[in-house]
Order: sequence, then C-alpha cells, then structure tokens
Amino acid sequence: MHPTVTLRITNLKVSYAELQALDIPRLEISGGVLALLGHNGAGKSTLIKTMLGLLDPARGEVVVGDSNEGILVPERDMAFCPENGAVFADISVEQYLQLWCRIKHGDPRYYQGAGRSYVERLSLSQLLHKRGRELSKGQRRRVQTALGFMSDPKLFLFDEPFDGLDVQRTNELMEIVEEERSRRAFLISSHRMDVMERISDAVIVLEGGGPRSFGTVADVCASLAGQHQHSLTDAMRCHLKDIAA
Amino acid sequence: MRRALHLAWSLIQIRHLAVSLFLFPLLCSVLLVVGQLVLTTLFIRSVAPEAPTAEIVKTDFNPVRLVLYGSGERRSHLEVCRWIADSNNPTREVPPRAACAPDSLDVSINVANPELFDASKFVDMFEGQIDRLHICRNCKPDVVITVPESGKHQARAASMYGLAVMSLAFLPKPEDRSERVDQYRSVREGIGDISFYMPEASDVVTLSSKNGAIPFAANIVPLVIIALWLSVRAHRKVLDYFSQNDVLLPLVAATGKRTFYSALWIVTAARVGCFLVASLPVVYFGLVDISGVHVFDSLREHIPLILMWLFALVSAVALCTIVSSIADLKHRQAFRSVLYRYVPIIVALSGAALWTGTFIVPSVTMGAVRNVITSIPILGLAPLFAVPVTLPAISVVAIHALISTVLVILVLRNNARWFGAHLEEV
Repeated sequence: MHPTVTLRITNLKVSYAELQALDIPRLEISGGVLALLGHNGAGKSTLIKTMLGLLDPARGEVVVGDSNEGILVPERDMAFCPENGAVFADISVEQYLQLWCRIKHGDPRYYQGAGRSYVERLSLSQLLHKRGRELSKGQRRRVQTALGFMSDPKLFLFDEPFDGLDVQRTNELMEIVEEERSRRAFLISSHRMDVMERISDAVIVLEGGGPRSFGTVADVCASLAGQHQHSLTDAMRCHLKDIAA
Repeated sequence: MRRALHLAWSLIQIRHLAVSLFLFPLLCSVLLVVGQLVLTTLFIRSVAPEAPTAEIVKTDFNPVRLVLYGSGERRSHLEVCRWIADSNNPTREVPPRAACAPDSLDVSINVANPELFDASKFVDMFEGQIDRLHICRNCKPDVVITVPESGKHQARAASMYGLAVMSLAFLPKPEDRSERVDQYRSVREGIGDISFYMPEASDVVTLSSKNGAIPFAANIVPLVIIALWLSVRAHRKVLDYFSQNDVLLPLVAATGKRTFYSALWIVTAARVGCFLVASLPVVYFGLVDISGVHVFDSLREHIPLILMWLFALVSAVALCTIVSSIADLKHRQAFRSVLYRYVPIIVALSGAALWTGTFIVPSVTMGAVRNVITSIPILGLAPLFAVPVTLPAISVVAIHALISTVLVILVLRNNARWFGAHLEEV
C-alpha cells in the first residue's frame, strides 16, 4: 500500500497585488502521485507555494492530509524542489549539503551516512566539490532533489522537474519517483503530459487560475475531450483545439 | 526560538554571508571610530580656552552687527548706564537718564553695588559692539552677566539675538596672536560660564561647560544611525543572497516562515551587536582620553533623560529606516520609491528648520512649539539629536520614544505580513 495524500481546497483565492492568480471554489483529490497540469500562468506554482505556506491566500484554505487523516505541516512533512533547483553560487555542493543537513537534521555529515543513498542515486558524488555557479540547471535540480529526499518528507512537491531533461535523465527521475512512492507521496507540476500520464494516479488541470478538471487520468481525459481519447496528451491536444475553434 | 537560533547559526556558517555580514560592520566601526575621534579632538581643541575661536577679521564691518542693528559698522558710542534707586520706591531700580532706556539688544551687568562697580573691563569688551551697557542689580535685557562678589561670573542669553550680542565680545582687536589669546582669556573670564535660556528646558543650557555634551551627542547619534542602517542592510543582504541563488523559497518552505524571519532578526541583531561591541568601548575610552572625564560629568546629572534619549533615538531612527526600507522593497520598480525613500529625510529636515526658526522669536509659546516638534517622530528627529545639549523635559522625549515605538511595532507587523504575501517579489 503506497502512501497517499488528500488535497482539500475550499474557496481559495490567491492574488499578486491586483492580479488574481488562483480562484478555486472547491477541490478534493487523493493520490500517491498527484499531477498538476496546466499552461504557463495557469497557477501551478502559485498553488504549490500556497500549499507550502509561502503565499498567504486572500481567502479560503488549502489542507493537505495524509492517509492516516493527519494534517501535513509544510516545514515538517513536505519538501520542495523549485523549477531551477537551488544551490548557492559561491559555495560547493558539499558545503550546501552540509548546510541543509545541519538545518534539517542538526548533523552536517548526515548526507555521508543515512542520506548517502540519495547522493549516490542522484549521482552527486562527482559534483561535491563543484561550486553552485559551475552547475547546470539539471545538476542544481538533482542537488535539491537529493536534499528533499534527505528531509524524509511525507509529500514531495516538484515544480517542473522534467523541464529541460533529456530522455535518459527523464527516465532516471521517473524511476526514482517510482521507487520512492512506496515511502512518500508526490505532487508534481509539469507541462510533460506524456510523462505525467505514466507516473501519476490523479491529475489536476488548472486553467487561468481555476480548476479545468481533476480526478483520475481517465476521468480527466474524458472530461477534457470525450471518452474516445486514450491519452492525456491527446485529450489536452483535443481540448486546445476546442478552445482555438 | 531554538529552531530560529539553530537556523541563524547555520546561516552564519556560510562563509560568504559571514564575511559580508560581519567583516563589513567591523571595518565600518573602525573607520567610524577613527573619524569620530579625530573630529572630536578637533572640536574640543577648537573650543579650549588656549585657542581663540574668533577668526582674525577686521572689526570695522561685522555681519552679526548687520543682522542685529541693520548696519555692520562699529557702533559709534557705548552708553554706560549705572542704574539708580527710584526716588519714589527705593527698592526699585530705574535707568539714570532717558538715553538709558533698556533695549533687548543691550547687555546688563548684574552686580550688588552698581554705583561703585568698576566696569572698565566690560566697556573694553563691548565698546563699538553694542549701544548700551547697563550696570544694575536686577535689570534683564537679552544678555545678563552676573558678577558675584566672589566666585565665577555667569552670562545668560535669553534669545538667539542675545547669543549673537555676546559673540560680539569675542571679536579680536589686537593684531598680535599672543595678545589675541590674552584678550580671549580675559573675555572668557569676564563673561564666565555662558548659559542659554530656553523656557521649556528642564535645566539651564550651559553652553561653555557643556562642551562635553556636544561631542557626546555627536558621537552617539552616528553610532545609532549606522547601527540601524546596518540592520536594514542585513535584512536585504540575506534576502537578496538567498533569492539570487533561488534558495529562498526551498529554505523558507523547509524551515517555516516564522522560524526563517526569526533567524533573520537574530542574524541582524548579531550584525549590529558586532558593530556596537567593536565601536562603543573605543568611543567611550577615546572620549575620556581625549577630553578628560568631564565629558560625562555634565551628563551625569541627567541620567534618566539621557537613558530616555537613547531609547527615543533608537526607536526614532529605526522608524525612519524601516519606513524607507519598506518603501524601497514595496515600490522598487516604481519612480515613487525614490519619493518614499526620501520622505522621512525631507520631513526631518523640515522639522529641523521649523525648530531652528522658533529661536528667532524668544517666548514661552515658542518653547511650547519646540516641545511639540521634538515630541513628533521623524519631524522632531533633529531636535532629538540635540537633546543632551538642549535638555528638554523628559516627558517630551518620552512621548517621542513612545509614539516611535508604537509606530515601529505597527510598521513591522505590516512588514511581516507583506513579506509573507510577497516572498517571491523580494
């Protein structure tokens, strides 16, 4: 039995100054890997930041519960990997790992002990002595991903993790998610319908700051483009055609 | 709190942050202390009796006389008026003749026996500078020099005009430098301690023996301003460093907003503490060493006022810097950010001008106006800086401190809410 989370949203409104970024009257969805889909500006990152408590909603609330009916506390139960990864430009990866391990576990050497498997799984050993500014976007994301896993969260929130990855790296990351889903749940925001279709068991499609559709992959496909569509990619393509027409 | 301390300690261990957060204030404190001590030495030497302050100028024309009398030329005649007892009421003094009718720009010498007093020294002092010198027991124009039968003389100016009249006595007459020094000493001895009458002050503002208060205020005020500037910069520095590296959001998410902001305050306090620990002892021992312990002697009588002043100073300058900083953060893309940033400075300068203006008309009402200006945050910043010298009532300084503190708390609370809502824009 894989761990799952339940996302309950009631009357949520989030705005940036005059711009309303999110307006979700009601949404409830459960799953082990939740996919958050939508175009640029649909409100995916805003929803993630609201779940993490980084943005205060103007109205309403977001509650994330686990399979034991407990409510997840962001700093205790969640980890977040932003779109560009995150490493200080002027310190080495090793120093950055030490800083995080000191903050989260009180032991700067945690990554060499209990967290070692993630360092190896994400191939960080050869990056340890590189400074942040020497890393590519993908490498920075691997570092932050490893740190997220080392925090041992109940829910891992990924913002666009597959963006810019080649096929090999995409497959590696998908494998990692598959392996890890027995330990924790994921919420992954992405444009990559093909990938999300393969790994997610529930989908939320956002459009213009509101929910266009949510549920299982099959439900969402049906809702977006009718029963005859078999893939999320096709359903989305069909939906876009409808909008254009 | 433990988590915030732990986070702050972890952040401080980032080498780049530690260097820019702590090495810079240390360097800043060394430069400040050296600068202050040099300036203080120059100031104290310049007001020491060994060195005449007046410039070597020809005394045929003087701008102070131009302001006071409408003509810069030497006054043609000094009328020496020895006041006499009123024939109808012997306890009352009256001028001896009509030409001796007192004017606010006159100087009076208050002595026990006007008829027998040898006023030649004062006549030398004020010849060509004023129109009338009154020798009396109690008459009080704007400048009164009290000559007791024994002990030091004391001079009191009741207005800025009175101070200007008194300054005329110091105009150098002899060409020879050593003679000028003798003349300066003679004038200082003749006038004695100079005090300035402000109706609202809690004590007489004794200018000559209060030399210590001026360097004291001039040394403490920049310390407070720089400390607060460093604290605001510390906030920006940490936030900028994290956001430029995309680490801000993951870190705040991992630690919680409350813990992160508390850690930020701890880092800020450590930075300011580092600056103060490095600079305060040097300033203290420097002041004592350069000018002698008397710097603090005159202030010792006003310890509650000085403590309240320090509290008010910190809260008032904090308010100004926080207002400027928030405006800068909130509107940094807009032209009006410049306006917001400089509004506190403009308001403070306007307050300084108003406050100075009240000295032109010496009255109790103007004293009350000065009190009102001094008690208003930001507007009363300049008068607040001068509190160790002007010694207003402690309640005036307390009102300033109280209003500033309340505003600081309100602004900070709004600031925290705004930060929370606009974390991405930082």
